[in-house]
Amino acid sequence: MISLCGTVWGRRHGSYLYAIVSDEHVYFGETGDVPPARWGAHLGSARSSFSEKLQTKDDGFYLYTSDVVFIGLYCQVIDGIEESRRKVARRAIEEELHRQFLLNKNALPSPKTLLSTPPPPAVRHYFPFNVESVAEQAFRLVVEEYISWIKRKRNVIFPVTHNGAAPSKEIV
Amino acid sequence: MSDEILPVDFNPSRVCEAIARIGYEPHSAIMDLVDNSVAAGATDIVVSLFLIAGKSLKSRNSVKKYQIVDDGFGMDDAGVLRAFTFGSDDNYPPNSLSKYGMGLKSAGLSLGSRISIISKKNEIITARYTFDTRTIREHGLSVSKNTLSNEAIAGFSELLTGTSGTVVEIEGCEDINHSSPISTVTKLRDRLGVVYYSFLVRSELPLRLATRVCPFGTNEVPEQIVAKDMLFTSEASRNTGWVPDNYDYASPYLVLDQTWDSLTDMQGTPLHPIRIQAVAFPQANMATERSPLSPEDKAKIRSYAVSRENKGFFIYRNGRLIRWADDLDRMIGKDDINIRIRLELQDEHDDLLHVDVSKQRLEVDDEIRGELRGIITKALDTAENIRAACQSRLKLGTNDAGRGFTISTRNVSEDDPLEASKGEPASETTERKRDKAEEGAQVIETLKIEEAGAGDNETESPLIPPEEFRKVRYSAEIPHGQIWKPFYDAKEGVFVCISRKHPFYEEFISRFGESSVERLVIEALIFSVGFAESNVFDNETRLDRDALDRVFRRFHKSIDTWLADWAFENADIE
Repeated sequence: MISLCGTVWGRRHGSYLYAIVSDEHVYFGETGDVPPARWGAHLGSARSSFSEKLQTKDDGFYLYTSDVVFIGLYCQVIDGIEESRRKVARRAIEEELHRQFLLNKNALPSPKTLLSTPPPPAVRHYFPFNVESVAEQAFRLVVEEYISWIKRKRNVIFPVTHNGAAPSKEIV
Repeated sequence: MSDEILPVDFNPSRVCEAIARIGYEPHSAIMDLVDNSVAAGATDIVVSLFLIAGKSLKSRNSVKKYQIVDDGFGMDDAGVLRAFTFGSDDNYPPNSLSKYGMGLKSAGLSLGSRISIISKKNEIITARYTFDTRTIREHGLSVSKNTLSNEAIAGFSELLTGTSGTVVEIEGCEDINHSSPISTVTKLRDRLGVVYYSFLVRSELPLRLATRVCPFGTNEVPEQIVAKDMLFTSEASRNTGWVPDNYDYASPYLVLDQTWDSLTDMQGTPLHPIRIQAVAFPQANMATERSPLSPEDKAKIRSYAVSRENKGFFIYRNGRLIRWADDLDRMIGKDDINIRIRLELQDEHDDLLHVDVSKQRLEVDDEIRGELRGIITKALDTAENIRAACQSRLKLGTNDAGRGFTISTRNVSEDDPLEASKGEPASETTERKRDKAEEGAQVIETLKIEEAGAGDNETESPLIPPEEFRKVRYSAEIPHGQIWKPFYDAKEGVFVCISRKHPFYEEFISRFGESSVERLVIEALIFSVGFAESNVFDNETRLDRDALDRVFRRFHKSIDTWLADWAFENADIE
């Protein structure tokens, strides 16, 4: 009858990465605000890069007819460095996160088109953490959360009956 | 109504001509024959070029015979006949170097008009079987069998010393128009160690591979091929996470080491992940005379052989190199000379990447190319930055940061234009300058320690001679929220410290050589603002120090934020 569709926590002016995932698309980004603020901008403005690209792909129809999963990641490791370098650190991880997606598309349950454009690599910067490892972990978390959502959705919308068989009709 | 099946004829002689012309160079044809030996489990392979008596490696069409001898599984008579079959029925094991059963014929016929096999299995030597295009022209697809004389058996026994092995000989080389074989021999010597690297270094039964050139039919001693990793991976893997500040201008950097697990077959089933590694090398000109590096470092750089011929993708299939320095349709630009990328494919990727029958070429479609470009972007960017760093190092010599600018300010006064005609400064101005001079003296002492530390890893030390005063200095200790900070020296006047840790420095200022015009202009602009700030602080005595501090903190914060954002957004500007 009713089910949770997610909890997002965090403080404003923290460092976050996020992924927006649908059956067919994936979009990665970073923000220095709580992710819902950024997501609101993505959804509220037709000129945001997310909406704009989705519009280009399939006239924006998709967003209104399919489930879209919003996944936020808090990057504590970035908040440990000085403020003026946090944005470049987030962008460095975001860029590497895009690469992790390109390297590991088979980790996702179905093929996805990448909607976001990676920022330029932060080659000339030193960070007190390994950007690649952080991005690998970020990608792993996104995949785990997305798969976990698929399982939750399956159990809520198509719960398995006691004898293991799927029910004959959809429960809403 | 049923379909009628009708046989069609084919012209074996024309087919032989066709398969000999699928694009082999002599060295690549020889390597295809070596592949057969490796696929047959050989651990000892000798490639020999026998020259026509009186001709040298420098003469055209001077090869009398190519010979490949291995100690592989060997074949009996039936096995040798199967080897000549077009499109072998043999099921090769997974990850074998053989696939279609065409290599022997196509590679062999690109080198000469006759291919002979003599093999040994379980101590028994076969007859000599010859696949001769002239015979085929007259009699159709066939091989001739010649029973070996006792003398011939003794001769081949000397070559096949183990219980099994095979000799492949290509003759009739004069029927094929080839340039002088010096190029073939050079390429074999240069490349065999790279092409079969993983086989030569494997811990279990490592491959021994040797070549020799025999003039006048002499029995020369084979020269062993040494394994060579073109990516110098073990050395490069000690250096990851390249940043300009601690670069030594001599070491290779492992800039990518990942597995690519995104490819699927036509049914959508995931294929085995592809290992992808990239190494960025210092520029070759860091080994030239004008380089400030040590002779040892220069020798090290020369050993990497950084050149256009060696840049790009080195693509291995089942452990064997199939593409040397491929740019994969311009994915590697003409300037990307100092990057090498290794892709390790398996035969299950053949269909997806359109690996051709000779296993020498592949085609990457646009979608896969797009993904691959995304994967290697950072590696290419790092290589580009390394080239820029090398160029700067060569151009500028050493430890010149701020020196050129200091010289350029010698005849430029540092008066506040609004105070110039007022005579004696106000007492508050003098007080403020005195306090700032004390702060400046402390800062200079701190800078000396910082610069001496930074010089430890350089060829010259310390970074800036302690007695030399510079109007612009670079420091990692500038307070957060500022890209530069002005200071005051009692004798020398204003000096400005620029933050080495600010993105604007890291992304842009550091790109320009320490004495370059670009750097001088940036230093002049920053100094002028720092100088103005200093003058305002000292002379605007209607405002107390706290108020001025607040004003300038805000001023710097705005500049810091804007320039940091601008630097991030435009980091890819070239």
